[in-house]
Amino acid sequence: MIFSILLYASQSSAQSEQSALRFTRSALQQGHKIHRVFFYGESVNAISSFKVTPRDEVDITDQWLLLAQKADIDLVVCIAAAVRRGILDTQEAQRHEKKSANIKEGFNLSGLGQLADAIIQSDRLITFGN
Amino acid sequence: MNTQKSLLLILRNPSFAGSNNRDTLDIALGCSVFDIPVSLLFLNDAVFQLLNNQESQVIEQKDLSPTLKALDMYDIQDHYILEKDLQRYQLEDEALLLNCKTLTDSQLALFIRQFDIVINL
Repeated sequence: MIFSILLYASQSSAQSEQSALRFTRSALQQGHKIHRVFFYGESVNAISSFKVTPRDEVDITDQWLLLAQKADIDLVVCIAAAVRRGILDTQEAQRHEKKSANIKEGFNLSGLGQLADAIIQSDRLITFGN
Repeated sequence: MNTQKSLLLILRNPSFAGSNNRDTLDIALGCSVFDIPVSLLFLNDAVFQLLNNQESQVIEQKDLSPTLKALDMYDIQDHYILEKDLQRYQLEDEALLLNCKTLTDSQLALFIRQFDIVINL
C-alpha cells in the first residue's frame, strides 16, 4: 500500500512526529511505500538548519533524511507555513529580503498542491496532529 | 487531473482559537484546485466560525469569514453541522454564514465513513 504522512504538531513539544517516524519505519519494514511526508503547521519549525539537538537526544529531522534517502520519500515543507515561521530557502530569503536561508538541506518548500497530489497518489493519508 | 477520492475536513475549534482553522481552509482551497471534492464538517465549538460580524479587528486577528464566503467560488458547497451543536448554543441555521446541512449524532459516524480521506487538524 502507498502511504503519505501529514505532520502538524511541534516536533519539540509534542510526541506525534516521533510516532509518525516510527509508523513510517514500520510501514516500510512491512513492504509498504511512503510516497511523501508533508510538513504543515508547527512541524515546519524543526526544519531549520540552525536547530541544535542535544547530543544525548535523537534529531528526528535527521532521521527523516536517513529514511528519505533509503526509501525514496519526498520530504515537502508547506511554503506558507514555513515562511510565516521564518523557515526560508534561498529563493524565499531573496524574495522577502532576509539575510540568509535556513531550511535544512534535503527538504523542499512547496505549496499545498503537494498535499493534494499526495492524497491522489496514495492509498492512505495519515495525519499526525496534536 | 481528476480523482474519485472525496475529502472531508473536520473543524472543531471556535474562531481565533488556533491556526488550525486557517490551515484547514487552506487545505480545502488547495485540494479543490486539484478537483478533489471537498466537504467541511463544523463540529462542536466550530459552529461559532459560521456566525456573522466576527469583529476580529477588536482582538487584532484576521477574520476568516471572507475565506468561508469564497469557498463557493471554489465549488466547495457541502458544509455540515450537528443539530445538537445548534441547539446547545441556541443558534438558528439562517444566522450562519454558509448554507449548512444538519446531521444528527447518530448519523455522524456513518457520514464520516463515506469519505475516502478525512483530515482533522
